Amino acid sequence: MTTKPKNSYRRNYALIPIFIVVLTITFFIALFFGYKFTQKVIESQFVTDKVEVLEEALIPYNDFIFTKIPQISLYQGYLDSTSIKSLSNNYFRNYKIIDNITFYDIEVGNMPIEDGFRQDRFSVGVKAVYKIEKSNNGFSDIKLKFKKNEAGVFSGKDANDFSQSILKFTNYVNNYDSTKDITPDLIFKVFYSFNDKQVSFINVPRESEIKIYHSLVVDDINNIIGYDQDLLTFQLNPNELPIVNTSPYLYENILLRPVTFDSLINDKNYFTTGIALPGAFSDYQLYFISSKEYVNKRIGMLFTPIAIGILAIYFIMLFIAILIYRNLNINAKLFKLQYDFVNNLTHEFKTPVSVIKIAANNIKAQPVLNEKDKELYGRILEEEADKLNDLMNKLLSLTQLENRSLIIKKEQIDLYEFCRDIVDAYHIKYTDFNLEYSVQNILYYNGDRVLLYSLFQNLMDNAYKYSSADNRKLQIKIKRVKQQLIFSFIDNGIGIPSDEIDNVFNKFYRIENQFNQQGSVGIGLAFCKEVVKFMKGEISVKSELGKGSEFKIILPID
Amino acid sequence: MSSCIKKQEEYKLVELNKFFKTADKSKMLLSPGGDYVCYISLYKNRPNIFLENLKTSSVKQLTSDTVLGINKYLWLNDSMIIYLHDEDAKENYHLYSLNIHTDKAIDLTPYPNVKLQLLSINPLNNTDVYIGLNKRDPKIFDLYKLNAITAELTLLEKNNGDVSYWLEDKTGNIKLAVATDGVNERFLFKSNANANYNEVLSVNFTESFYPICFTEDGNNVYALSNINRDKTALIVFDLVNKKEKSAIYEHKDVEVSDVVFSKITNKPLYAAYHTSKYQIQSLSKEIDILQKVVSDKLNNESYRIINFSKDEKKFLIKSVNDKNYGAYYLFSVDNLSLTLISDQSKIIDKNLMCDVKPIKFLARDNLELNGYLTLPKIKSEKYPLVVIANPNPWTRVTWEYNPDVQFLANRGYAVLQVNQRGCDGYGKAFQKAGFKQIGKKMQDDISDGVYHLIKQGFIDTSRIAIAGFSFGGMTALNGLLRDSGLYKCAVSYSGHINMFTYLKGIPPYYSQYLEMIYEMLGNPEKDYEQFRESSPVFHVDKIKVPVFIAQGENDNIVSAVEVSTFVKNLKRQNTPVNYLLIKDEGHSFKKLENRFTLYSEVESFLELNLKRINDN
Repeated sequence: MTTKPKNSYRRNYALIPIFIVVLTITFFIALFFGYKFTQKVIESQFVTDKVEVLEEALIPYNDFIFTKIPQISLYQGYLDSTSIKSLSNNYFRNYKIIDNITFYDIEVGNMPIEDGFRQDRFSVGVKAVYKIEKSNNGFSDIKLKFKKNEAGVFSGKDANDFSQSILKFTNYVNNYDSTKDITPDLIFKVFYSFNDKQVSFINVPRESEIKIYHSLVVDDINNIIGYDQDLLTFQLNPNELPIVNTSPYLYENILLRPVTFDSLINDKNYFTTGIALPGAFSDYQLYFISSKEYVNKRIGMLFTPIAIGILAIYFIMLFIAILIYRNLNINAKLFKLQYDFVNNLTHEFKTPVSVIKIAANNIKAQPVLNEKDKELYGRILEEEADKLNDLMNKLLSLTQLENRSLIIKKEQIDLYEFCRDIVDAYHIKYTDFNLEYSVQNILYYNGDRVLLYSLFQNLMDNAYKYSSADNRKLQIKIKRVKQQLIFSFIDNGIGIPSDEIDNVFNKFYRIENQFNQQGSVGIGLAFCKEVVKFMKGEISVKSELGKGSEFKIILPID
Repeated sequence: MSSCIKKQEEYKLVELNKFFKTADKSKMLLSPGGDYVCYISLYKNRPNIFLENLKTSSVKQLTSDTVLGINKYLWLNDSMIIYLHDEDAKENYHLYSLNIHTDKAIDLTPYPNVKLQLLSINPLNNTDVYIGLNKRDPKIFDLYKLNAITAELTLLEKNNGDVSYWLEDKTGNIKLAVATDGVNERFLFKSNANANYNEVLSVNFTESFYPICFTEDGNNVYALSNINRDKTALIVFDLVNKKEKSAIYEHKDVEVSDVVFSKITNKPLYAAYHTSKYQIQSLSKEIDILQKVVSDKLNNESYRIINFSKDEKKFLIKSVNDKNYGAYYLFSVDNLSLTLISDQSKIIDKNLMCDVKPIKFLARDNLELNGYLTLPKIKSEKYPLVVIANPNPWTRVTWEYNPDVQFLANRGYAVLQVNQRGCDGYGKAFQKAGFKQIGKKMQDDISDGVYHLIKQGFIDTSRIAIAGFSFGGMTALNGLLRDSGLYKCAVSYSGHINMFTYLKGIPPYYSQYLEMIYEMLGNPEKDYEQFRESSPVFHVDKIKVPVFIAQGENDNIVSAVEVSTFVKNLKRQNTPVNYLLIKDEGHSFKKLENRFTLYSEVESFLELNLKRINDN
């Protein structure tokens, strides 16, 4: 038995560690790339998310520029000092970004003018200039800065702002093309003027007026024509833009800085990015800055769930590996059991067969068989034949039991009588076997006598087998508890080691010790278990090493 | 059973396009000899002049312009007409003469970039035309005499810049010039051709004085005047003593709108006025006779005298009614006959049209108001109502065929029209009551009309709509603002939405009347709040009920850009809006197919929102 047969069960336990090692390497690679990926995502988010902040910050500005300012046109140039005040309060009061408003009441036509702008016969004259300042009550403070022929001088910044807007407007009137519609795009280009922290707007006249203005430039018109127009210049404060950090996990600080600002670009400990503001604030940018730690923290935050995910997958894989290992192990054990069984079985058969063979030889060798020999050999042959028969019956029954092809033949068994018979039989068989029995609370049991007998036989054989020669003792107790019939087999045998007690009912399992040398197939208890199971009962064992074991069978009483 | 069938026939739905077809023949004029008529009819979809011989009934086309067509013409004498032709689509009209026998047309004013005012025809020779031309100075019209045969042009009066028109006496001598500075009109008189002009009268814009005809002696002038009186009347003004001499005719309720003079006697033949209908007040024997015969033959149907022959024996008459375009008749004084020339009424079955009935009611401040109510032929206990607001707040609605009204009535709606305060025709005080009341009392007058009908119990108060064209569109939208809850929906066809823009829309050559306009509408700077108040564009948030808006893309009166933004804002707040934007159309839709689209969409809009009960 030192050399294993070639076709023995091939176990390669190296596969498992290899798998685990590969899995672990993959795990670390996944972690690494996961981290890199997170880092990339965060870094690109750092650059892209600034648009959101910008959009958020520009909501009031855009609302003011694109929905409120065009409303001025609805007044068709008819605004004056009173109406501008109420208009300012109506439309612009809620815009914190507006510092103050300069209102130019202007006239457009072909009249002679003193202050203003003139090209050919097209004039844009200034009638009055007002400055509207913000106070607690909104735009309540209106100051006259200039009035034609009456007050003030039209010069300085007011005149500059005026010229800038009017030049654009005049240029448009000059090149007016009646086939081109007045689109929002055109209005934005012509009637709005953006400067550093200020926006100017001339009310958009109807196309008919623009046609007339245009005709003033190109045609010779004698009538003096004059139209009212309004020009408003809004002084804006970029610091009032609502800068909301929509991605606080990305940006540690968001600053409003001149567009040229870029101080920390070379500092590797900071991430920075900037985005320019539009229109009147085009000299400014939103500057986003975060320290590396801050960003790393965010990377960590984002990476944690990814890592947990990878870890979970890793453990699941590991668990599966363990399951596979266990399965392999069980299979291997099973294979060994079967292998041993065949070995033992062969041995078990071999002994009686060789005895029979020797007996046969002896009979052949003796010319005359005397009476004594005849009886000896006859007994030997009969015994050995019985052994073989018994062995084969057991195997057959077990197979039948396992396949459930056995039919229970129920009959009334007088338990006391049953015990007495079997004990008597054993006393004859094993004279050194000390057997005791007792029956309590019950007389008859309705069941299969053969099966019950085989249970007794197996357990009694075992008790005999696994006891030292000087202490072969078995106590059989039968009692009824409620609707259950309990059989207890208490021996003073060698006992079962606690780590093996779970396996004793397994097929082909044998405790390897000195008592078991001469061969046993390890089929007895497995057979008992199957029988009990077949009889809808339970079998259990309690044992103490060196002191003895107690097998207990519980059968239901119908 | 038979009544049932009759009923169905009476209530038949009339196809949409039938209502809006224009009359075949319009602007018919009788020739001085009384043997021909000319009229305007369509040639290749453009108006052109046609001639009909009344004796033979033969028709001849005189002009065939396919660009803009011809809309204005006059008989010069029995063989010649003159007409105005827009040469360059810039209203630089040229005056043409055309011989009806030879078809020879002559361009009498072949001057580029010159504008023309047609004033009158010299009553002596019937070949000279008095015209105003801004030939010498583009901003000044001088008075010329123009020979229609030779095209010879003679300067009669040099205008020093402020004269807006002249009046000649029966011999063709110019004796009266009317000068204006935009606010005041000054009337200048000279007793003979060589004398100097003398100012005889100055009139502020709140009053009106309109000289029509010199008296026989040439020292007095017949005029329609409301100086020192509330309602315009026909008076005689003494030009020498510079005062009103006598009143010839006045009406207690309404203003005299027109007066026609005999070219033979220089005496008034009749005066015309609108009460609930057009009325003629005879001021001469001929018209007395005419009235008797015509009234009898037309079964008291209302009619107008269009013109008459030179001998004043033949009169061209047009019947006027609420159900169709009427018919042209020739009345002969000699044999007292009334002959049908052309029946315009065939387009529409008169029996299917509804009666337009005048109504009177009191406004909430007890001012008496007039209007018209048209009830559908389908009888119902409670009618859905559509209010049609006036397209011009200063002009009254008159009793005549109105396709809008008949169309809606045929579709089962009661239709209300109100002559709100501010309208002409009812006198100075009534007009003045409307000054600066746009969107206020003028608006209330309309809703008072609705309440008046509601009180009578035949209006379903849950099914009232308001509609209007141009200014009426603004009235409709303002109705939703001022009388919220009264109207279920509104229709605005080329409606104004902004008073500031409305004011801007007054053409620049009217700008001299700015003071007058400020008086009537308000000053956009001083009355800023009122302007805002009465402009729907500023109150988008208050408009919640369904709105139909039709707009021509090339409208140069209402700003299409402004309207588009308005519509966008309405849509943004989920107000249901049907927006019909039509390309290549201006303020009022010219193309027939566009008009059909408009009306069929309005029809379904009203049907949807007023849930008309269809009896068929």
